[in-house]
Amino acid sequence: MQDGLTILSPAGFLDAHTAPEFETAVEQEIEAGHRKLIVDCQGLTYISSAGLGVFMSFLEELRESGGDIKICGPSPKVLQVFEILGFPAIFDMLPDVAAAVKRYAECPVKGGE
Amino acid sequence: MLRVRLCHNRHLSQLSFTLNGDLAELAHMMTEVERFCAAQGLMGDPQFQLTLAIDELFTNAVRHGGCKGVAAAVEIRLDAADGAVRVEFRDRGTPFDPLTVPPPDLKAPLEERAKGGLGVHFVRQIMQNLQYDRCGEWNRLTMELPT
Repeated sequence: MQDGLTILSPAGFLDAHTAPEFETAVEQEIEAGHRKLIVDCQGLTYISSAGLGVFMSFLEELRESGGDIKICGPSPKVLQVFEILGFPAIFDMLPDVAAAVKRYAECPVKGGE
Repeated sequence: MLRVRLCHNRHLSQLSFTLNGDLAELAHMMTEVERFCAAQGLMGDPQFQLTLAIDELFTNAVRHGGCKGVAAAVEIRLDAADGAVRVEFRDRGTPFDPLTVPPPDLKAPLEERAKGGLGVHFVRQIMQNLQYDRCGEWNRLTMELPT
C-alpha cells in the first residue's frame, strides 16, 4: 500500500437517509489530513443521487489540495447509476482496490496528468 | 406508518402503500418495492430501477416539496400489466411539475453544475410516459417501466 492512501468502504444502501453518515466519514478523513481517498463500493448494494452527491461535494476541495477520490468495485447495477450522472468522465473508476492504488501511483489527480 | 394493500389475480397485480414525510421511510419503500417485484418475477434490474425512481421522487418531495414531517404525505401505487409496471406517485407537497425541470448539464465543469435536478434526471432516464397533473391537494406523477 502506498503511503497516504485512505480506503472507505460504504456498505448496503446509500440513499438520502444514510448519506449523512457517509458524508461524516469522508469529512473526518479530510479533517484528519487524508486527501487521497479510495472509496471501495464492493459492499454497496444500492445508491441514489443523494449518495452520489457526497462524492461530488468533496471532489473540488480534495483536488485543489492535491488529493482525489478514486472509486472502485461497484456492482453493475451501482455502476449504472454512476454512469447516468456521467461519473466515469469526472472520477477515476477502477475495478478493485489494487487497481485504484496503482492509479494513484500513475496519476494522483484525475485530469492532472 | 405504512399501509399496504396487495391483490392478485391471473391478469393484474397491484400494490399500494403510503409513506410519511420522513427519509427513514425509504427503507419501508424499498421493502415494499422488493415485495411487489418478487411477486411479479421482476427481481434484478426492474426492481433496482423502480426503487431508484421512487426514491428520487420521494426524497425530492421530503427535501424540497414541503412533505417533511407530514403524515401520509406520499401515496404510491404499482400496477403490473401488459409488459410494463405503471407507477402512480402522489404527494401532498407544494404544487410542482417535475417535468418542467431542465435537464442538468452533465458536460459542464463540476463547479458550474446545478446542485438540483439530478433526481428528476434519474427518473427521466429510467421511466417512460411521464405525465403530471395536480389533483386537489395532490401532485400526481404517472410513469411506466417496460419489463
